[in-house]
Amino acid sequence: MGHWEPIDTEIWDTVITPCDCCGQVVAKQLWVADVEGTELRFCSERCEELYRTHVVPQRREAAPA
Amino acid sequence: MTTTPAQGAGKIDPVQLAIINNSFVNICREMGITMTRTAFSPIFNEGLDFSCVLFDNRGNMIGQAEFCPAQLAASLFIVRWTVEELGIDSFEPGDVVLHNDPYRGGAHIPEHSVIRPVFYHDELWGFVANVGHLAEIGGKAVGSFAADATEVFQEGLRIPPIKIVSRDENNLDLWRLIMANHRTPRNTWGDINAQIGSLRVAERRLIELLDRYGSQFITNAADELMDYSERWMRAEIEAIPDGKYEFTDYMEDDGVVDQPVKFHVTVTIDGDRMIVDWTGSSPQVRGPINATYGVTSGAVYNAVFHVTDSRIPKNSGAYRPIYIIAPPGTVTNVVYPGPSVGGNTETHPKLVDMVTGALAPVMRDRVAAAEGASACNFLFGGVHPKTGDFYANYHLEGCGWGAKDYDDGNDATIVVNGNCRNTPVEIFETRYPLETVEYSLLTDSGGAGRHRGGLGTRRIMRIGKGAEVTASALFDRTKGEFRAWGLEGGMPGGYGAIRVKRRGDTEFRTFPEVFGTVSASKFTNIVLTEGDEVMLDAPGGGGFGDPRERDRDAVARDVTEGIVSPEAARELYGWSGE
Amino acid sequence: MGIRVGIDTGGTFTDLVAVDESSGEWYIAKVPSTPARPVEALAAILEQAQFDPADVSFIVLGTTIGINAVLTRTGARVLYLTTKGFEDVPHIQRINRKNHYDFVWRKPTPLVRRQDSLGVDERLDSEGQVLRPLQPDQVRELLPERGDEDVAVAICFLFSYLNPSSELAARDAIAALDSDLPVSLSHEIAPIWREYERGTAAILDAYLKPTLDRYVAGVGEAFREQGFESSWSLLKSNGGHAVSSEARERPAHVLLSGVAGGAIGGAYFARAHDAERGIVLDMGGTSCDVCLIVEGTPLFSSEFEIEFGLPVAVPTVSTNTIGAGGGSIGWIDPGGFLQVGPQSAGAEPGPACYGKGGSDPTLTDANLVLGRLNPDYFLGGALKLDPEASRAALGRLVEGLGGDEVAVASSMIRIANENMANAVRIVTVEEGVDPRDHALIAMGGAGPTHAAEIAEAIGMDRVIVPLHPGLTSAFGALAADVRVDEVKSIALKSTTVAPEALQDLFRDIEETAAANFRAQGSPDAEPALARTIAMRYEGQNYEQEIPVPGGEITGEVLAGILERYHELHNEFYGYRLDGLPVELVRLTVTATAAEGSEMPPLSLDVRGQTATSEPPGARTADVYFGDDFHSTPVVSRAESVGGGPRSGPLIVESMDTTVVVPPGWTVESDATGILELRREHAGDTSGTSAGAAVAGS
Repeated sequence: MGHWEPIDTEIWDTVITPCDCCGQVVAKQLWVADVEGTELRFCSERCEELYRTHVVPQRREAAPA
Repeated sequence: MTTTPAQGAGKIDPVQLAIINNSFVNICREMGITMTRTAFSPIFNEGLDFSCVLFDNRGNMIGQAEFCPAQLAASLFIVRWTVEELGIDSFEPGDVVLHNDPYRGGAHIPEHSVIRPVFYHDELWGFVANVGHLAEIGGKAVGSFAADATEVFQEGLRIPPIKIVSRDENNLDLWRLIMANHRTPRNTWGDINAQIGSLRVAERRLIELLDRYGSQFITNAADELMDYSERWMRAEIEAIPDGKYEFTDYMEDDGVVDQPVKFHVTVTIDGDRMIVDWTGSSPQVRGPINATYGVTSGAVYNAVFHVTDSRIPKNSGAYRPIYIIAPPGTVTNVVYPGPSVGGNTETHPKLVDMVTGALAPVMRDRVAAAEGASACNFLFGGVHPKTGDFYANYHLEGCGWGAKDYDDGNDATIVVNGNCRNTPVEIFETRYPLETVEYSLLTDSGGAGRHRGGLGTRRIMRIGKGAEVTASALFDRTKGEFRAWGLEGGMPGGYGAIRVKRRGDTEFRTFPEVFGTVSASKFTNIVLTEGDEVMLDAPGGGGFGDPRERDRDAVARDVTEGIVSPEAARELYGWSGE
Repeated sequence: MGIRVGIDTGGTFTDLVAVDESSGEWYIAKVPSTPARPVEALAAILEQAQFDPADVSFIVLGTTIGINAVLTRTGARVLYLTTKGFEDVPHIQRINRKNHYDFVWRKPTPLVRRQDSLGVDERLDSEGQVLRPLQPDQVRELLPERGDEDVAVAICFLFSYLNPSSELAARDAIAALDSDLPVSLSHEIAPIWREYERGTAAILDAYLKPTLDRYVAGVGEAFREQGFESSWSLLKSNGGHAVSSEARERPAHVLLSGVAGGAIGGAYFARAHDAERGIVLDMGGTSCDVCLIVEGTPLFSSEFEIEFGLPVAVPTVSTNTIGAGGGSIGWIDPGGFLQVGPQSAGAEPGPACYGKGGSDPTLTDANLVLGRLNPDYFLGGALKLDPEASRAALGRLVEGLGGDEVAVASSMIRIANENMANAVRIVTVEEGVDPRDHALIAMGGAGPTHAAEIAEAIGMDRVIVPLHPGLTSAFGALAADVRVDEVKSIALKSTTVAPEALQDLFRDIEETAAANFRAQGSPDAEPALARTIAMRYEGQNYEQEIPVPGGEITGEVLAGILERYHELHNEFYGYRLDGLPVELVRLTVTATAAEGSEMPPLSLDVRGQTATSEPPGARTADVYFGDDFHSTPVVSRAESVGGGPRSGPLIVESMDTTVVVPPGWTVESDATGILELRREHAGDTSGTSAGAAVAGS
């Protein structure tokens, strides 16, 4: 089960942490979840779902047999 | 292809829902009227380069109207980021937040959003927002379109979400700081006040609506409307055959390096969801044609809304079944501090056309060939010789739109990411020391086809007596093989161009030839003086189908009207007339 | 003194309303319109009215001839002369899009062909200085050979609103060559900036010249043939009169002649009932026109559009028209939502209950099924309505929506009412006013049936139902005053303008306005002159009209006018910018008759009105309000004169309309029979009558 993790920023920072699935930058907290053994950081649970149901199968397809 | 969404288990009767949806749209339209009537810069009061939106208190968009698609989409990210970064508890009645940061959900730095929380009986019900393109915001280029910027600091003053108004009191220190960094601060003062005025109108109307029906009822109605839109959009996507659809296109250069820039998209239709993946696009480039995630997403939504049923109420629900993957550090998702000012007007329309182009094989009756896809951004400013006042203006042009299976494309129409108007010559010359010599449609610039692409335009302006004008430009589609492409045998649209004829010269030449700029379509701060002339050509749209199959009466009419020259008619359309 | 006649030629019917000024007696008449040969209906209606021509002193005619010619594209071939280099302005237009996610929409086709847009090498600058003078030879060379078709010339040179000399010289050059060729000059039609809008006004004017010319000649002949020698005029889009010569010379000014009558009629009744602020709602068979009344007169605007992107920059009654009328059809969209209109069943086949073969459910059908119409007394019994046909038509929607015919009917009414309420809201926000301070003037055959529920949706609590609401347009034509607007563009700033300069400028315009007023048939008149200055903050592009008090313009008066501008801007838009200079861009003088035309009061009882059936007596009917049928008294309008107040639910019926008084409203009648409906809980915007499930905040 994933959990939310706050992004540490200083007042002078421009946050540059992107979602590991869609790529958009996230403001304050990341959704951290384990996907097939790797800990990934997402903008939301919706992106975790996209990652599991689209990105992972796609990678599997593209990988050499 | 008509679709009917499954009837949902909605609790509110559909009549009421339709009425409330119309109310949301109308509030946004009323904001727009207020803004048009009171803004100071021609880009707002003539150009209409702003958009007005309604949100609930969870960052969901619940209403929009016929504004600029790019700004509308960006507002989704902008408002959500603002609420997350500042925290939902940080808002108080009477606050206005100002924000233009491209890395915080924005589209490009001139787009300034003002956001106001709407409280109802002491509870935060939602937000109203106005996103508008401020014509002059500092940075290296007069008119703040730094076409050769290599980092955001050169583009203009960047503003993270800050409260410009707290409890209906202006935070004057912030205003003063901002205006000290803009070249036309009086316009900033007038324009942002106009934006804030529109928010006050929206707040009044929203409260009236909540009074009339009850706040919980409207919240429930908004949720149902979003679900309704989502169901309908899913039904539209479901009707497209499953599969992967790819497209590749290019920008001719990035303003700093004279090399084409590649964009690649894979559109996956997977049941009732659409995933649009920009992997394979070039790494982000040095010049400012990078797109932010907000721009790229906006382009995808824009494309999808154009090819699906236009009656789907446009709220967050409609956006839900569409996913955008844009790898950070590529031209479709620029990373701080990469520049992006050109991404919103030059890159966005190409991305739109790429998505529709990818889907064209399975949606041929819904798509169009590529449009000119350039706003022909021309920025200029200086001291007015008659008044001694400094002025700066953001000037844009309409381009030709792509043809469709069933009709020609529109001539001279604003790029697909916007919904702006041109500035009348009479207003232009009253304000600025430039004389317009010509403003005309460009014969033969519409891509030939069974249905022809729309024509671009030509505008020639001459610098007036005693005037010194500092000019920048950001165009595309001026050279190479990257004109607006056609579909099913339709031919590409005509080139755009920006050329200069110095006083005493006899012909127009490119800016690299005359001033040594790196790019012919992207440059900043060229000083032009009395008698110099500038020619702006807007690109034409692509054609659809084989030109030899164009109805012969239509070809004859094109020739009589001068839309197509007799030579082109004979050569491309196989016309046998005189 | 004599009989003054007002005639309105609508799409379906031509109406006549006349008053004998000496006896105070009123006449009405109605004949079907004859769109193919418009003048025939005029002859027919005068015959029906049976006046002695010698008794008739004046005839005013409201007509749709102009707008119809534009909508059907049957006007003249226009030759458009403009500054060289700008021939394509009518084709390029303003480059924005009607819908923001739409590949299908095409820009409007201009009223001039591209090959007929011709450039002349002349040029003025932004201060009106001549950079290149007009060469008459050039103009002559541009005119092509003429055949048999209607041809007219429109001229629009850049900055002609500041300096008309080039346009005047061009006209002279054409007149020397071909004196019969009609010419329209943009600075005379619409002296405003924005070349596309001004040029389009000139093109529209030229486009209509031959059509109006023939029409005016035909009308004059028809009147003469019937023996009428009286003066007559056309109603202008801005509510004034155009004597025949003016209608021929400025056809653009009579484009919305047919709509202006309704607005003026509505304004008359607003004033008669002390409602200086009103909103006219004129709901007919196909469409509903909404118009704002400010200080007793209809609001005019110069931003009317024939369709998106095709503006008419001539002052017209500012009307928002939407497709909601008695014949509007209910249908289900692909998303499953119920929609009403804009498609209409018209008069043929008409609503299902007309029994003429219509099978689509319309608002009339909905109203009938909800018990709001009397099937035996519709149009005075001239048409018997068939409620079963209505049920069958509504039943076709029950399949897609669920519920029953009554639920569908109720939903249709609510949706249509909300569409009309939105039209009202848009009109008021554009002017920055609050509709809740206004009275709703319910006109047209269907207006009084819907008005109270529409008012409630907006939060208004006062509805006025004029006498003969179905004839208010013809009445308005009759009630229209002679009115002349003289406009002059200027370029002055609050920081530098001298009051004496304004005084002088106004004096010139006042003289012209008064002279033009007298030319309209009152050679000895001393008209009342109202002055306004259009202003905006320096840098804005849109102005507000600020009234100028009579008398001398001193420094103090000027300061007062400027302060009023700041106040109004703050009131409408929420802020004022005292430090900024204000640009004064336009002076307007409006000349009207010094004493209001005192017409004898209209009464319910008029000559020419014939009902086919006996008016039904007072009775009770089951009428649907909210979410159920209520036992509702039905009374006749004739018998309610001078009565009240009575509480709703109540129906007041008459030959030409049914007035619905919902629960929570009261109705009373003044001595002449004008009805006023008032909501009992003033200012409350909760839509209780609309049946909304209000969950509470």
